[in-house]
Amino acid sequence: MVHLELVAELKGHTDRAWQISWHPNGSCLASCSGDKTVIIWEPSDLNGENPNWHRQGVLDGFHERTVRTVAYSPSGRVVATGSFDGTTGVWEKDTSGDYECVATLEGHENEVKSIAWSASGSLIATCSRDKSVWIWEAASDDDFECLAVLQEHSQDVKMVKWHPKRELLASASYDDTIRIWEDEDDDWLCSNTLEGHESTVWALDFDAEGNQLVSVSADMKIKIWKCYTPQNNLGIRSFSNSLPTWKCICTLSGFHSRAIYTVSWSKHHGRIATAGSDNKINIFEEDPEACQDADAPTYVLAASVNEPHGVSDINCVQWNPTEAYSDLLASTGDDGIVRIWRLVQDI
Amino acid sequence: MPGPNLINANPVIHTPKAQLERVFRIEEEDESVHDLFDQQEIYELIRNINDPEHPLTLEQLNVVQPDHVHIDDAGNSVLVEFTPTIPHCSMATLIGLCIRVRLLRSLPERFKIDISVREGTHQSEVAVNKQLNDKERVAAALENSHLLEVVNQCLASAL
Repeated sequence: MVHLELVAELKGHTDRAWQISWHPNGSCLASCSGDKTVIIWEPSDLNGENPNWHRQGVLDGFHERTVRTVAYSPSGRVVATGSFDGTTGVWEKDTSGDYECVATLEGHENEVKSIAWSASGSLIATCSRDKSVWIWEAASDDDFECLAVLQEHSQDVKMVKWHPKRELLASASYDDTIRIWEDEDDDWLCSNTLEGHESTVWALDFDAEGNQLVSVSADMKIKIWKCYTPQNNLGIRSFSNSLPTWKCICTLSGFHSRAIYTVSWSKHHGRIATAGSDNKINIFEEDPEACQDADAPTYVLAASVNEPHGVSDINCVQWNPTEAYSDLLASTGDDGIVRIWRLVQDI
Repeated sequence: MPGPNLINANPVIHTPKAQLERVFRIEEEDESVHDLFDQQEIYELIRNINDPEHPLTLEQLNVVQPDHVHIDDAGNSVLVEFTPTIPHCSMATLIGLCIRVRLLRSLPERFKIDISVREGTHQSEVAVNKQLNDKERVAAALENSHLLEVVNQCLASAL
């Protein structure tokens, strides 16, 4: 068995915090808040037993409303922010070490809810309450061009997430569905609509290979979906002859008693962290003793923390993206505090 | 008199049932005992909220009723069900938002608040309920200064 140990509390936001993004080298993280800022937090020495975390930088003065989403680029050179003010900003450190907004991506009619960078860093996706998903191409750190506006969701789009290896995008929506978007001959199209959740899909994440994705919803359920190529052995039919299809292979229910807002699937140890409005973080792992059927996996609750943010909702959990620090989980919520947890193996 | 453009120009006005004299329980008077929130206290917080289009309270319009307030103090949860004056009331979301904001501002943070239209009383009940309980959309709505002003007006007399 495993459990989570609190290793740090980062206090600085003056309003609810919505999201966290680790730097790709795992050495620091950014958090965004209803206080209209992003804070970059850096530990004194992550290898030390109890590093002190300090504010390395603040991204402020640009967004006029809540900063809902923040995302480091895969290179770690720039940070993108999305706001209820409808804009997306791209930030870089200037020569004096201050963060400066070097580019803005405009076009959404209202609140930007989520931003994601593709694995290569060449594409950015944004989504909004205006029901659309936009795909942007990064020509350079401060030059972006809109490639596509995808308008098939019938409601508010809550989250976008790129496949860890390929240029395939997943989006989660208030319309209870997940859509998969792929580029076919320079035309972005919706290749799959994943139906099954009974309420808003708040978040999703891929596994390390990108063959599976996990989604969480206001229906209090966690679903795992698997990708099947057109000529799969199980005879699962595809939407077209060339594109794969996604099928729900596992549903976890009864672990959360209110809406689930966030999920993170570790690319290193494979554990899934979930949290939401019931003030609880849950960690799931594949049951080592269950029959190993890749098309019907069994997940068990490996650890749970009650009230990691006191009486506050938890809005985001994120595993550290590096192998060296893969045991670190960051969380944040309505109390505006970021907490860092270490996953510890029980002896 | 109400103008011709109101959603519901002639609502039925209800005379609140004579307020029962509030009987204080022993634990409410004993300061050393942890006093739990009850249905009546939650109702007191919302009964005088003003209707967005009439100079009447939600109580007078029977939009809120004591029996439709549910509280589990130990479980930190409150559910308020409200009844729009007419099944196609376009003000339903705004009324629900006012109730939510009133409770958010008055109750301790530990409470999770759910607001819903009473079953069978609104033609878009599912959509209204979903929107009222989406914290992100509520947060975004309350950053809209015009909307916040309208909400504050409805709440002004409830204080």
